Amino acid sequence: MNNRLKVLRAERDWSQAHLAELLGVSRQTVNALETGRYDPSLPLAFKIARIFEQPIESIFSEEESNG
Amino acid sequence: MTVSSPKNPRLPRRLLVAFGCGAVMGGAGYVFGRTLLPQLIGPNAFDGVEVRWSDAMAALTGVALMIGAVAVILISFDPRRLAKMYAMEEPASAEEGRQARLQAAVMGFSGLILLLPMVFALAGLAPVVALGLIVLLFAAHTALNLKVWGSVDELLRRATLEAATATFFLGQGLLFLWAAGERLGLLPPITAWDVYAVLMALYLFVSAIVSARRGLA
Repeated sequence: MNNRLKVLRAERDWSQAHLAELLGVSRQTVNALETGRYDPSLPLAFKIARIFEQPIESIFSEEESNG
Repeated sequence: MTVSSPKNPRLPRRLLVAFGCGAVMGGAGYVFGRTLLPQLIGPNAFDGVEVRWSDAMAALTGVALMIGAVAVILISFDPRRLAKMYAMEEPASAEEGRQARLQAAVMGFSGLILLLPMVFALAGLAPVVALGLIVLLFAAHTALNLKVWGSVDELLRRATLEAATATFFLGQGLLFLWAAGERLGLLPPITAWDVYAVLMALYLFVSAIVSARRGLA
């Protein structure tokens, strides 16, 4: 699973701690998501989409990335 | 730019270093026990004391858990080192330090409980009293485990479930093969303590790998 979490967070100039607080998870979880070590549960994925105001499929995708 | 899930994430260097240190310390402990210890306490000090392979395995696992717990507790008081351990961008908060200490305390408690049956037996404590104490401590440990489970988020719960699942399948596989060999008269019988020692060693090993893969170690 690919994700654009780190880019989206950087665009908003949010810290990992701020995003973790918004999502109600630990910074370890934000870090694991951003480094691709963990794929979120469906409820957490929906929460991420809601916070970034983007559809889930624009944040998470199955395709291999070239970037 | 996107980030993709690592297909085969490399184990962090610190995990390999930890296993390396464990091997070196294990070797040093063996040499100490074989050469220096008999000179210190007398060559016959352990006569009449039966030490099985599972005692050695449980002792190593218990001590490893306790050393790991002490290390995490010490690191948890340094916000920068704790953040580095978890690869976080900014220094750890007081709450993150407290959470790390709670988790480490439970881990160390697991090691202590694992050692107690052997310690009590060597100390000659009455078995009923020893088991009573162990039951009380086990109940306290279970309560702490539930407290940790209730306070962590989905990542740590997922890691715990993955470690438990892998340990179950590896453990039941090993137990089945041994049981089959035992039933066929090819292998000697083993005790519940033997099984438990292997299970805990397996769980420690699997947990370390799962934690590393999830970026928790």
